[in-house]
Amino acid sequence: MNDRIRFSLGYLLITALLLLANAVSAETEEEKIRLSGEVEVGGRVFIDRPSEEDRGKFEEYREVPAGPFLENLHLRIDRADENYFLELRAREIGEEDQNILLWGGRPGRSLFEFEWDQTPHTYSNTGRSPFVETSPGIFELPDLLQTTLEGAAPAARPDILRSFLAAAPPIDLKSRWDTARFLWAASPYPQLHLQAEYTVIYKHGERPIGTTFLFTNQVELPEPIDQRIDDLKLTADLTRENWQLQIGYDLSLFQNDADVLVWDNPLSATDAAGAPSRGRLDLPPDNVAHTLHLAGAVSLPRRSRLSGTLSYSRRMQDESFIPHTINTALSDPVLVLPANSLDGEVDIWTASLRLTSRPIQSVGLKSYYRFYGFNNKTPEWIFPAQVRTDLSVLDEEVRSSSINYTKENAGAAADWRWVSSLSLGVGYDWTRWNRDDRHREAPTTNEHTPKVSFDYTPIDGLLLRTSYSRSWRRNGDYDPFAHLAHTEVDVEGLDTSQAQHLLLRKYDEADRDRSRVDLLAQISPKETLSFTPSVSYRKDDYKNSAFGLQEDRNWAAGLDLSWSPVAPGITFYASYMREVFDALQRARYRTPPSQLENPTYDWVAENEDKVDTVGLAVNVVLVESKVDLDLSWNASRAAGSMRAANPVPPAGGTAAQNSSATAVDFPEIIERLQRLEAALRYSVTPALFWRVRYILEKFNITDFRTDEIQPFMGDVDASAGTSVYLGAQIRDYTAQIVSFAVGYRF
Amino acid sequence: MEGRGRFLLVTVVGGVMGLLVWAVLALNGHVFAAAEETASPPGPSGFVGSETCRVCHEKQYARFATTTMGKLFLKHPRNEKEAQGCESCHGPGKLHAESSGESYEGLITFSKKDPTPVDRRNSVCLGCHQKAARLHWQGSVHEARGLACTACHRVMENHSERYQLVKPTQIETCGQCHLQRKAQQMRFSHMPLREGKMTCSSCHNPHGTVGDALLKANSVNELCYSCHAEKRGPFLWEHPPAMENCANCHEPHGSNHEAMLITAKPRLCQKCHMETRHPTQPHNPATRFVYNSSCTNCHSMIHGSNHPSGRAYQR
Repeated sequence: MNDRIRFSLGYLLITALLLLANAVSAETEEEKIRLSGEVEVGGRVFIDRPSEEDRGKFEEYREVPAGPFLENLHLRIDRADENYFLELRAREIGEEDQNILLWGGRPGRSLFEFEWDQTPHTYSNTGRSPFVETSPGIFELPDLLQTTLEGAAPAARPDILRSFLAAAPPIDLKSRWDTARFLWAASPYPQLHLQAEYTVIYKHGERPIGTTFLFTNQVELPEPIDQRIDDLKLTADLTRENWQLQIGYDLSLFQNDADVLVWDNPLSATDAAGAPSRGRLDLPPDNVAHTLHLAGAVSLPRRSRLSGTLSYSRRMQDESFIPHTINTALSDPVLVLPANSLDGEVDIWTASLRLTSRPIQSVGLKSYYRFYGFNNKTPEWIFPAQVRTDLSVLDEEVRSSSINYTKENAGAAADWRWVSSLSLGVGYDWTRWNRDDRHREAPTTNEHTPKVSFDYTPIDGLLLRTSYSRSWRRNGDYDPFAHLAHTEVDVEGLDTSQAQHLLLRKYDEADRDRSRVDLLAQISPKETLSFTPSVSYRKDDYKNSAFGLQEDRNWAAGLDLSWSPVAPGITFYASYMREVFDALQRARYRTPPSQLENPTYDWVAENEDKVDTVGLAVNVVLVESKVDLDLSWNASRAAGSMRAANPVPPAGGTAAQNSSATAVDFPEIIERLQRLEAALRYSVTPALFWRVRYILEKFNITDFRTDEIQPFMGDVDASAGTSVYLGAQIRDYTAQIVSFAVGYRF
Repeated sequence: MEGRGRFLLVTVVGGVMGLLVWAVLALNGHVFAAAEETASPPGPSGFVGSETCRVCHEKQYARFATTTMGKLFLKHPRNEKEAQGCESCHGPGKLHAESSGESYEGLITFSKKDPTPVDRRNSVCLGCHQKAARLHWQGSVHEARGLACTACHRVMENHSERYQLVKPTQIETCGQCHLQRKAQQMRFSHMPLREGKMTCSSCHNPHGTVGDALLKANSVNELCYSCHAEKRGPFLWEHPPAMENCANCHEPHGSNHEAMLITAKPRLCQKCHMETRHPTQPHNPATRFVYNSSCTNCHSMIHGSNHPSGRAYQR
């Protein structure tokens, strides 16, 4: 008997006992307890079930097993005077994605909740790896393979690896988040509300991670996930008619029990400079964050209100450093660490103030200011040298980065209800970033955004909402050498010709003009018909960026329709959304020493994504209060293209350089998902029903980056002849499911 | 004058002017006395009690009685206001009852055709609910666009499992206006919304916050770290755009690219990385810089590294 059936039987037994207890108590204490709820049991068969390998996307966040199921259980116990209640809702019981919520209390006075949730995350079901995890995070290969490859001539290595990887065994590439949440809330006095919430998220499993020994020897591994997040939130609210105050404390603890990833180098059995026998990667460190926050609001005359917040947060991370390298052949004195751990500490201050007022019915005013200060107090450690991917010592003094920034927002807005059917809004927002000029190129950016909105209800059943905003973001100075200063100690002594291109502007700091328009209409000519078209358009113009993102445009248009021509017998739903994202970027291929500034090596890429999403549904009452039929079809198609071209043919370098500078289009990436569902429900009695359901789900993907991926890629890319991948693909699938369920409501 | 100084001047002047306008409007009781009178509640003599309402509105009464508010108002009121039952929200019903339902004077029906201004209707709800998550309703984008509480909540019956929403689920409720967001849950790469493991309010507070996009945290990253705390750091080697804003690279509502990226790799990384050699190369699709995980085949610790030699996020 598997866990699913054991869980289901357990729940059914509890339900039966409660029903029995209720029946017994009803005779003797009829007024004391009232039990209500619903239980739904049934079975599921697959007409067409994806194979284990093809099932990765189908079961990305869920489990869909064949056989019996207890899909839904709802139990509620109310005291007859309705002063107390206890409610249980459980779904997908016993399955990998089960969820259980138990809550109860005294309405309006006290509440407790307990929730248990499991969410699987399947990355791929096709992964294979020759590595054996001998202890958590330690991946080993047979010594013979390493010795053989080490001794083989470079040209012979791919053939040896190919034959070995052909027999690589399958591995799991999935994780699961188990979440337990406890909440307690109470109002001991009418004006005081207290709440405590504690959540534990435990993540466990494996996911793909890339590692490398420089460029020609990539090794992809299943990263062990053994992480826990403890989160505690305490809040107290004091509420008076004219003022409210809220104080709170949040604690978030992150603990990673998988500290490092160590793996054998397929090409070397013994440590040597330039050829380590193993590599080591530091997995995310434990950290903790404390946050204190205070919020308050006071109501002023003439429907005015002043509200403010103040928050202080401290993040800390002090996990011990691991040595520069695991390669025992590299023992240079310059590799002595300057500290045992980071001693990382960040203080974050957030403050906001907002004044709103509606002095007269038709006019609303708002002004606000907000400050967010990220003050990184982590020491900046200087490392005399580093080790490049466990291979060799790089004698270059570098400094770690403790990045600070502040963000400020301010603005004002007014809305004017001209007549009851027409509302006009105007506003202005300002955003300023101040960044540490040692780390980021644009120390200061200011963005100004005037905006208008217009809402119109000319007749009953028609509402038009429109808004338009235009913004200008400008940076005062843009220092392309900040990229070097970010970690290099001696910037002056460096060959800056190989630094970031002087004309590049990074899109999160670059000058930008943005226009945005949104239109929405809600049309309900009668109660049984509603129609909601929507259009939005956004254009970002990076007009001062010679290189980098040049332009980013996107638009979306869609509609929702709901129509009940024979209310309440038939209801149709339809929805459609077309989204287009179009971005243009420009770069220059730069290869030192001679081809750093060859303008014929410029290339321009246009990345365009077109997504269509459609939904159709109909609910038909075939026999009133007896037989219902639900049909639905939802589908999505996304096509992503990455086209690239050189404005002029590359010339001036060697043939190899000219070839490397030549831009080509990447094949289109296409994803299609559709789901058809039909359900017939028959109510035997008002309390008892059965339902038969058919589901067709079909997914197709064409992605040139993963379609051909396998552990050995030397046949596709000669330069990857000594690399090892997992071969993790997302595969097409088709699933057809028929299920039958019986539900009982009591 | 530099940009900051100019802005401060504009802010100060604008703020002072705004305060002046408000003070003039607020203190001029004579001008707006009429408006105040309209807003003030009528005396208790106009109340008839919920049982009177029940005579004609039996179905509504029965449905309301099953809700949390119904149980409180009709059976266990905590204060005098709740004890007014139906009239606690709808206003005194005497005129309505005496006119056999013909007159709606002084009543708030909360229906779509209710002529009562939206902020008056909402103030009825806020009379009790202006606290906790609703502390910042005034000035929020939903308030500014004149959204009624009843656009999202159906107070008179339990239509959703919790929170008395107008639609069975949060996604459907928010999707009434946010059509694009509703569609995005069908994307290839998405958080588990359509699987029912998350919902809109996992990240947003529709009742108003002081931050951007009605987020429930002080910043985008702070919100993401609540579940993805492994990316919080601080790290020895930070990736600056990642520590500033996760949304610089990710589209949390769903994307047709892996890991909810805004642009497919390697083009995403190539928007900013233009040093020399491989990051600047347009690349052939069949190379290790493009296939599989592209740039993160090697730079896998892209959210930050704590390895002493992890400056290039490869360790």
